[in-house]
Amino acid sequence: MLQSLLDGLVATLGWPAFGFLLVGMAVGFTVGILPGLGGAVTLALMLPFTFDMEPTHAFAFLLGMLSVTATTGDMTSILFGIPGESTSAALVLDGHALSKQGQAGRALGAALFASLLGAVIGAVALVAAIPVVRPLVLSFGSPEFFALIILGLTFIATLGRGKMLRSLAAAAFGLLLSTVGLDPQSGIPRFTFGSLQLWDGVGLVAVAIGLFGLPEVIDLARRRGGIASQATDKVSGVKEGILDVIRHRWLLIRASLIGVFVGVLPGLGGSVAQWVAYGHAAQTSKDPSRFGKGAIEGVIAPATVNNSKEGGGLVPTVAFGIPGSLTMAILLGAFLIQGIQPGAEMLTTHLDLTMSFVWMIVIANVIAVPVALAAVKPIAKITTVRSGLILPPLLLLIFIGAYSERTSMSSVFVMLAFGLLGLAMVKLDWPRAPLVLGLVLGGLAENYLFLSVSRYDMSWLTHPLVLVIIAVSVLSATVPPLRGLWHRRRSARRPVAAAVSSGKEHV
Amino acid sequence: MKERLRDLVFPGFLLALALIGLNMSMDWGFRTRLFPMIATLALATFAAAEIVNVLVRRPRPALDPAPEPGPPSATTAAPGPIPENPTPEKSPEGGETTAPAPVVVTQAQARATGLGNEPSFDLKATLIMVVWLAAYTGALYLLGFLVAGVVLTFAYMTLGRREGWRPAALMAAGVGLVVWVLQTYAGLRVADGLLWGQL
Amino acid sequence: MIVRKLGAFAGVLALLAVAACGNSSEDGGGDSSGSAEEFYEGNTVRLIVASAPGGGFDTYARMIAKHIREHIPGQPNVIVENMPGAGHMVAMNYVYNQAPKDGTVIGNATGGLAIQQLFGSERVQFDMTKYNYLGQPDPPGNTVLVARTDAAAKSFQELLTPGGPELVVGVQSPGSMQTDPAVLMKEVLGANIRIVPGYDGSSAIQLAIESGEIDGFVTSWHTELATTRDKFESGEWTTLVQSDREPDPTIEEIIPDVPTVYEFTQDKVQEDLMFFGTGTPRGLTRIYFLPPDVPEERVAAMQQAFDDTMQDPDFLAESEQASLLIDPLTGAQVKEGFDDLFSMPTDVSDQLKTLIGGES
Repeated sequence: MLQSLLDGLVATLGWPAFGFLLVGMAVGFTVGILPGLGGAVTLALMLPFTFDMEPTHAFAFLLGMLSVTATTGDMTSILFGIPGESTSAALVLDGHALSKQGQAGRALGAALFASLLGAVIGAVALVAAIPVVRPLVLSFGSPEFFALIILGLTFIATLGRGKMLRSLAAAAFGLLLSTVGLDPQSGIPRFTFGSLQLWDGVGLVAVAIGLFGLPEVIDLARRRGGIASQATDKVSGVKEGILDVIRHRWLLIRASLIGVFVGVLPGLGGSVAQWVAYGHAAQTSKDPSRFGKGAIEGVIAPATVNNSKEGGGLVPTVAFGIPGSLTMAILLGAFLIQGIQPGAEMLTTHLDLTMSFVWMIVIANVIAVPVALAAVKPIAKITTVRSGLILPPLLLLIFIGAYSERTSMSSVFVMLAFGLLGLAMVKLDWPRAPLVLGLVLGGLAENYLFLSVSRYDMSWLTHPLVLVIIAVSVLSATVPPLRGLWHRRRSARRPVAAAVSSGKEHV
Repeated sequence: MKERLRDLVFPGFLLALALIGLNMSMDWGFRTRLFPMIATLALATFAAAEIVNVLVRRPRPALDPAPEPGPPSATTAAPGPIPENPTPEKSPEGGETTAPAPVVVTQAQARATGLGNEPSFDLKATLIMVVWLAAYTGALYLLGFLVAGVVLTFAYMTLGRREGWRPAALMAAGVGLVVWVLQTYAGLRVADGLLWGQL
Repeated sequence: MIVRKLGAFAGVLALLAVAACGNSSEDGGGDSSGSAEEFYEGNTVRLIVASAPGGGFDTYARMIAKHIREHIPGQPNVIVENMPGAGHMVAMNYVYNQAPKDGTVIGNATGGLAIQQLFGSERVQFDMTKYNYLGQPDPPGNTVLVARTDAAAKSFQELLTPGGPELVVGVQSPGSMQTDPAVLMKEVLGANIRIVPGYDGSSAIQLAIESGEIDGFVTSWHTELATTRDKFESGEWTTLVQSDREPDPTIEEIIPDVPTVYEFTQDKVQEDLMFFGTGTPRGLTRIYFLPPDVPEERVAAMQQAFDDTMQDPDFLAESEQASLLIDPLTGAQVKEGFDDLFSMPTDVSDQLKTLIGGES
């Protein structure tokens, strides 16, 4: 094991593999900045270039690229409020709120540093877990996935504290939206209104850009100044962001583990992972009401997950030949092209090759993050550029992002429709995150529910793991509100203490 | 009263949507229908509950005037003190307490200064921008990304924003270049525009 | 001031309009003057792939796009463009109706949609008998029923025995070649199969097999040969039945005595149902084609270029490295397959429609 770990490192740092890693990172950085063009598309476009390369070089190139796109996607979300890709939509909520408060540097610093540590912790956890990965993955069938998704839905309760009814309604709306398209069971089109483009459902990227990005653009157009509505000298604040990550180290570790776990399980996908982490951060927070208004934990958790899940996703891909996400599916294609046969040997005799993949992800982050951190200061200044200059490129980004999800104008129309909806929701004070959560989880929930019933009739309800996860869901839905109630009672009883400590927190 | 009416708009919209959806799903087979029905029924229930909630709530206390730009944050919460900051107890996990941040805008400040964390709007500016967005989309549809991007960038900056024509031309050229490079070298396919096909 | 700005703006607009017009007239409408070589030289050919980047369709298409350029007279640029949507329907409709009919657009989609046309789906806005076919790079799939060796049922015969074991078969969405054959085996041949629909792709199905949730699935043999050959060689998986009329020698090599579905059909109608539902005409799953009404000379040039690419040693070497099976059909062979399909007797197609018609 240790030997393979070292061999893998040597293979990664060898020349020219290392050079390919750097080239891949450069490509990933350039393309990753554009919304809509996520890691998967970039990988697919670059795949043909690797046909003639040696396996190690090819994977240094591809994994270097992949690791960086995850991070750059986070940056577009934080700076512009436009989700860089579907896997970084959760960062818009608090990350962009911070940018508007003039704290883009802090948010970027925290996101980048959390990405780095997330990748590293994720890799370590992964290496430690290799012996149990196979039984773990195989113990999750459709019923267990369904239970996990129910667990994910309980986060709605947390995201909407104080506006519970509105959150629930928004989530139900999201669930309803997730049923648009061909019914996976019988192939009957639902709510498609005669449009072929809607057969595949409403695209997550188009919805997220519309709901979150468009209201920001319109808001920005109203102003003379830049994105940061509050002029501060602390535009950079990178150090503060890094310190924030260290302060929330336990959250960081938990989020990394969530990322590895969701990544390892094929069948949930990256856009679920970030929301689970975000919901977890809000749920374990002492003061969830700050979430969505610039809570730094709301930046740290999804940023961490985004990078820790890549390592996790790699394992089922190499060990079973079963990709957990679109990105991993493309990577699997690359394995086959390179003549690498995924299978159990990848965790035994070819362990050094697997290890070198993990190293590539870690090293790409170790290089990219400090570079990006050094560049945060000028990048964060973008938020102070006056809106007349920043808007035209943002508009282009929004349109290209929506368009390229499906390579179709219909996505642009969907984006606009959801932009208007997002405007209305902001204006009328309705939470948008539960809607996206409902949309992300709804399709999966329906599919796994029917798979479970088709396969096991009702007996799946008694699977032990299902019972455990359902129990956890019930606890996580009920305990935090009760705890909040308890705290409120106590602070009501001791008003002076409450005032003092809340004052301390907010000065 | 006006505010109550305003708060009824969105749940009303959702309720209508749920009922339409429910109606549409009636003709489908059981498996096709089940999940949409659960979703529509849930949506209808929550939207209706919200409507009731708005109707029965007491008028808000006058002490919170909620200036126009900036979302009123406590419209649905039960009247009374807003539990904004529960006592941060000593964290069991040590490092988890929220640390003092360098610049933290409290909600009240944010509301007062209109620096909401959610975007805030005035109607006229919003409408103008919506029209620009519609124009942009129409242009994309008819002229394609390359031409529409360049034209609309220039038009927006000169006519919409009163920027000088020099920065506008520069920006338009930049936008065109980016689209062209993406199209040519990154393999990104963008719409050609409907109009050119007709010529 | 404003007037000046408006003036400048109008000027730019006019310039752009001129540039765009010049550009678009260069692309040419359907004018068929000049040789194919003159036409293609300096031009750009778009290869429209009906599915998203990264899948099997995309991989084949990018490989072909890379090599076909040298074989088209005039060596035009060939770029791949993904147009996923509605199970290939979007791209198929686009190439038939909107794409320029001058030979600058090649379509690539599944021929499986022919069955939708046959069933008279209102969403079909194309006529599969009218495309100009270039061919297909891989052979029509021999559809097989794959099962874990430790499943209760050891042979297809056992599935037909009353009171015998049940086989749990995972399938994807209805209407696909990974789904319909299982339905037909159950409904027409009476096999004791429990169909679990809705798996999201073949990798989800494989995971479900690994975890024991399902026993088997339907697939095309050469796909498995390229991707999971070791599972069959190690005896972890087996093949219960195949859809080719003659037993496939490459199956025989690994698993002896796999019966064909025709050994279990009772009469001509059942035979026809299995043939049209699971056999060769539906195995045209990766076809390349030009829209109708493209000038004949360019069609011929493109067909020649496709055939030449399939013989190109560089192309073959790279495809082999990428595990892409190349055993091509020509455009004429593809056309013939569809002609077969559309000659299906109406009573058979009516029955097929009720069995696997999918959408109402």
